[in-house]
Amino acid sequence: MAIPMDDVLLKLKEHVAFLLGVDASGIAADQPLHLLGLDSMGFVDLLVFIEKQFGLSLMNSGLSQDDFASLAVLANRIAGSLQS
Amino acid sequence: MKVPSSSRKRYLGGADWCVAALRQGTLETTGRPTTFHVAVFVAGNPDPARLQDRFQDYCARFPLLWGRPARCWCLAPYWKSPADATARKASFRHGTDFGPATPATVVRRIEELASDPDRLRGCAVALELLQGPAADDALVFSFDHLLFDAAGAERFIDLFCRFADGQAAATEFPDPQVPEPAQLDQWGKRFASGQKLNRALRELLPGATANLELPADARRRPFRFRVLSLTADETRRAQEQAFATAGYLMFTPYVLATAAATFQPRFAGRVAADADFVVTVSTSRLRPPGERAPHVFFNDLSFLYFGLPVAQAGERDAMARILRDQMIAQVKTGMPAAIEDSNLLMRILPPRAFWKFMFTFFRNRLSSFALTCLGDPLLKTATVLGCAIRTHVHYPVMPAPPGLGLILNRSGDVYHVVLSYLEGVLPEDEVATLLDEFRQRLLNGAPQPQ
Repeated sequence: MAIPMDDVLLKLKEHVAFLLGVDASGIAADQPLHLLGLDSMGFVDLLVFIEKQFGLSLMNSGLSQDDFASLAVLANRIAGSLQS
Repeated sequence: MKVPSSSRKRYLGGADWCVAALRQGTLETTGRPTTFHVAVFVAGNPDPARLQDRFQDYCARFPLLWGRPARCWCLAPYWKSPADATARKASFRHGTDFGPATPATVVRRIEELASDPDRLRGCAVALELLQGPAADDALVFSFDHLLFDAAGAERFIDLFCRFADGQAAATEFPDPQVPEPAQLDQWGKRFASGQKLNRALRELLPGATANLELPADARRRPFRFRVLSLTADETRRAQEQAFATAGYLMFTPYVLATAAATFQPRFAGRVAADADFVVTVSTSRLRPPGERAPHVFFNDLSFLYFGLPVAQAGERDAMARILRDQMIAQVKTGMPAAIEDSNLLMRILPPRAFWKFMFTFFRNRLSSFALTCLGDPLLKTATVLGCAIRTHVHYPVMPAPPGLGLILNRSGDVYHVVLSYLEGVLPEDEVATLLDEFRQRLLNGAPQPQ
């Protein structure tokens, strides 16, 4: 199931905005996740969201901090995984 | 069954009632409720009369500050607010008899306030300006946990600072009377959540719980606080250590593992060899889709429970990864939602009965200690009455039992770590070294030999 990277990014931004209680337009796609204000609980919830929404389990997939460098990088990684 | 709220009535949530139960338990054990305090350190000397005037004007906008819990015909507890608060004055004190408002002076004063059973009688918030013969002062806010959690308190102070400086727009004031449903429907679902929680806890915590004894004269013992303020560089290093040890953004499991490793030798000599640490961690609540954004008033909390053998708690790095996996498993299996769901049902009990039920439910195994890591600061305003805000620190009274806990709050680019305990839970000579050890472990791993 291929999903365009922009659509993945939009869903990620909407979920992070929801977790932080802010508007999605205020979420920068190019900022590291810890600078967006996500804490451990929010991050785990984001991973669970990705698993449910895209069917990808990122929790034990050996992702490094670089894969979470920003929402854009993460969306790119998810879109790439869905294509392969 | 949905029951609409009236303008003076706001249904309490599951977390509110859990806080009410812990508050009642602490009241019975120590004779004092669980209040919490936030000190705002400022550069300069705010004018006391103007501060009092602005604070009391601000509070009068929120009649619910003078409210109290009550019970609806449908059994759901609610917060009953007075119709009007314009003639009411929130407690304000100008304290000039404590010397300069240094961190040590502020701690001593907050220990007195926290140990005063009447600190918040009648109103859920109070302010004291500590003003000594120095260039800097401190504003000490006291909050009733029934009406505020830590994040809500920061939003409340943030808005007050802007209100005091004439910078708060009318649209920024929260409407505390937004209707909330009673949520005492779906009993079958909520019973099932309680069962799920019970089973998960039995699986997670199979052994005996490590608990320190409360002092026999707990009602006469004061609440104490010790503070460790990290520098900006230390805060960054702690975060890097956390990410490298427990994984990206896994600061809470790392801090919990560090705390457990620090507490371990202090527990090991006093509890059974096979006892487990049981730690309650309060976190921000994961809201279901469609729910409105977090608010100023009431408790928007969730809880996670962690278990680990005391004997192995000294292995910080391994523990951090185990705790991370416990956290992921709990979120994935919907434990926070199950806790909230079952707490909604428990609201049919009076707080005292709920507190006693907790003992039974947890098989007399309330937590060994408590931990809270607050996220990004919500107190973002830079000034109050023209004085620059230097930093702010949280001092919560920990429910007793266990009467022992750590809270980390971030202010600007630094973390403050506060050890909160009931005097006598640990010997003072052990308390004196605890935060130094915690700091070394947080930044480096094992503490250096003295």
